Amino acid sequence: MKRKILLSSLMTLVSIETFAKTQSTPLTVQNDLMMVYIQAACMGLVLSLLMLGIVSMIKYDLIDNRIRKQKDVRKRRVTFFVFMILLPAIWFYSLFSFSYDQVAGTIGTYFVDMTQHAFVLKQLFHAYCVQGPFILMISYFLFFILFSWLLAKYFNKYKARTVVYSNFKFFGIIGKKEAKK
Amino acid sequence: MAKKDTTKTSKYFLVCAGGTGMRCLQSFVNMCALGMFSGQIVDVLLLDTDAENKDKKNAENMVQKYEKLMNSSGDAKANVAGEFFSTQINLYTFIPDYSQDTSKQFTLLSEMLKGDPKVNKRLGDLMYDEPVQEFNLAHGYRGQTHLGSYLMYHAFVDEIRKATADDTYRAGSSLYKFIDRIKDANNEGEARIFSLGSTFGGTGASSIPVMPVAITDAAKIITGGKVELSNLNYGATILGNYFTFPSPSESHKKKEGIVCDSQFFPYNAALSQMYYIKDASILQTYKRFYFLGWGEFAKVNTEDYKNKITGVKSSKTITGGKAQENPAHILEFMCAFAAKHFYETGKVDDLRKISKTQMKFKGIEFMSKGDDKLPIINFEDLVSYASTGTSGKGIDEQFRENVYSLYSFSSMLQERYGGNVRNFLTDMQTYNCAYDIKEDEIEALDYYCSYFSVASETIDGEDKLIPGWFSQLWHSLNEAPDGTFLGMDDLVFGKKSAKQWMPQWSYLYEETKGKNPHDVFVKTFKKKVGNAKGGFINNLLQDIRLTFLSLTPTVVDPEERKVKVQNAEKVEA
Repeated sequence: MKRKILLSSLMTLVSIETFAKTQSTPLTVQNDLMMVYIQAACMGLVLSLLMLGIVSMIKYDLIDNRIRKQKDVRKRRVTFFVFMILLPAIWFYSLFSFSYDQVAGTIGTYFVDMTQHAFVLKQLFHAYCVQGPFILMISYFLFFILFSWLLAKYFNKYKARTVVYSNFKFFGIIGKKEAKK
Repeated sequence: MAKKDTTKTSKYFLVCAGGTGMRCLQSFVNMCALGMFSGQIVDVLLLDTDAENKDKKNAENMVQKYEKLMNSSGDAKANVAGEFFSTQINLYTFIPDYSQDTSKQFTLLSEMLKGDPKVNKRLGDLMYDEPVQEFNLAHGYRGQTHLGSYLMYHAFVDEIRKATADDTYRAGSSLYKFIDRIKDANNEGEARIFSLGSTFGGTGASSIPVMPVAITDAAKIITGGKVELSNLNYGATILGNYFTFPSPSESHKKKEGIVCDSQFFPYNAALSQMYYIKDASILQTYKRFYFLGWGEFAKVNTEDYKNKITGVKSSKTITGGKAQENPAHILEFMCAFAAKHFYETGKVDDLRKISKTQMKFKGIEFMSKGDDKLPIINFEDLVSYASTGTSGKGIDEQFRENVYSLYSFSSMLQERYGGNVRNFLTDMQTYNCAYDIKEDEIEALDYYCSYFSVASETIDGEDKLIPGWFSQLWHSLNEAPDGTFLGMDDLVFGKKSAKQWMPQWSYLYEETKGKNPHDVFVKTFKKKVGNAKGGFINNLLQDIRLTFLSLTPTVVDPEERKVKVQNAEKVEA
């Protein structure tokens, strides 16, 4: 329940923040597209912070491997990647909840005249439905790596870092050589 | 990582005699393992007459394992509790051989049948009763200290004479090496020799009175009397009776002739104490005595204890051999600290000035529970002086931190990994902490941790937990309640655990109490250590200590739990 409340609160904040627009920005397709990209990147940043909190709630596990294998790192990774896969769905949810105004005929800031601006509409649609989720996922992934590293380096919090780096290997599989035993 | 360096001369020597001496040695080694004699070198002589004694084997095993874990990363400061296993211990063993057909009895050993046997017999009868002359010495001196002292002195001197005369014999003589190091220390300015053993049993009670004379005479033989041995300072504990065991049956007495009987221990102890405080030769040779006793407190019956732990009913009288393995007692730990006090207190000139043995006593608190009196043991009772260390904490507080730390780690290892350090390290590697530790070091740490907190044994086909050395100290106070044992909650020792006697170490720290203690441990470990790679055994031990040291120890105050506490009258000599 705690996680749900946190998630909902942050998503609300994200939506409000990313839809804030400056009055001085001219209304052009390019600016609108840029807004989409920035919105996706910002959302990725915020969601990566949210994920840092979530994975840090999963406790470290000390258990004899004769009984069962450690599960905490796996749990964190599964949480991280499942959330990453669900990001497009979150993106579309926020898009259709907050960006698309059917009555006003706008997507984001751009007024869409369906008869005259088919090309523009296609561009916008592409930005919202293809590039947006892609940027969101990349941003989420990279910001998570960056923040988990910062947390470990400067705040001695290592749980999030174990998602990226454990057993002296990246994601537990990519590493040049086995650590000494 | 530095291991043993035998080229360095030590000025601290420890003689541990008899069954109680062996257990006191275990306490001393544990004290060193807990970082309480950090950065020092101690030469230890293990002296026993019973080669098969289980307590002796345990002590030897323990020192062997300790040597694998030993490091030199400690500070040689009296007011600082240092790293774990940071004292160098050099072990020497001397066991007079009473297993041969020519040496198993006093009558054979003293060659009474040679020369004029009748005269010899009459002379022997003047000194010793007939059963005393004829009992088998292979199980020790069986409380016959008048015979034991005589035999021990001669065994000592005889060994050194043989070693001095024959190079090959010398190479294999551990006693010779020990005495030789004492001689070197004397030449370099000072040797402090401390004896540990009981006053109420056999070997220890026989050895302590003659130890200064035997060692000095042995050193004289080595030097050919050409070196003045004025820098040898002797100290000892005078340990009163503190445990009992079932009295031997009539048939047992008949079979053995002479059997040790614990019902006579109080008389033995009282008589020997009178001797120690009055005998002129003793008062001239020993610089300091530490009197330790258990007074009116309930004494542990070793067989009852074993029955309680193992669930196996037995009322055997065990006075030696493979079966003699008594539980550890807090008084033995106090003996170890008496040795530390002797080593660290007073300069060599101050000791030289002592012309008559100084006697040291210390009172401890107790609480009344019905008609019983329960002792209250605090850390400051052990360390003798609560001086302030460099960290601003008293040595007693630092000691608490080290004890909590090692006990917690050992217990966690048993609880989560069945005592297997390798599996713990595998888990820590997942969190990017890897250590380069050899197999024999892993094995030594496995052994030590189960020895210290709890071990698993199969008894009558059933897996049972046997309290380890530190838990046995708590048992020695009859399962001390309400923080009367070092301020620890009695839940820690596992009486109420799902698996009986499995220590619940999480009650030792505020942060781990009521939470997931393993999560707290790893979190703190990572916070303190970060990503560790390629460290050695000493690094692992340092990291573990550092981790637990940053947690807040829980201290249970018996007074807060509304028990009546009375102060024992403190006596100072």
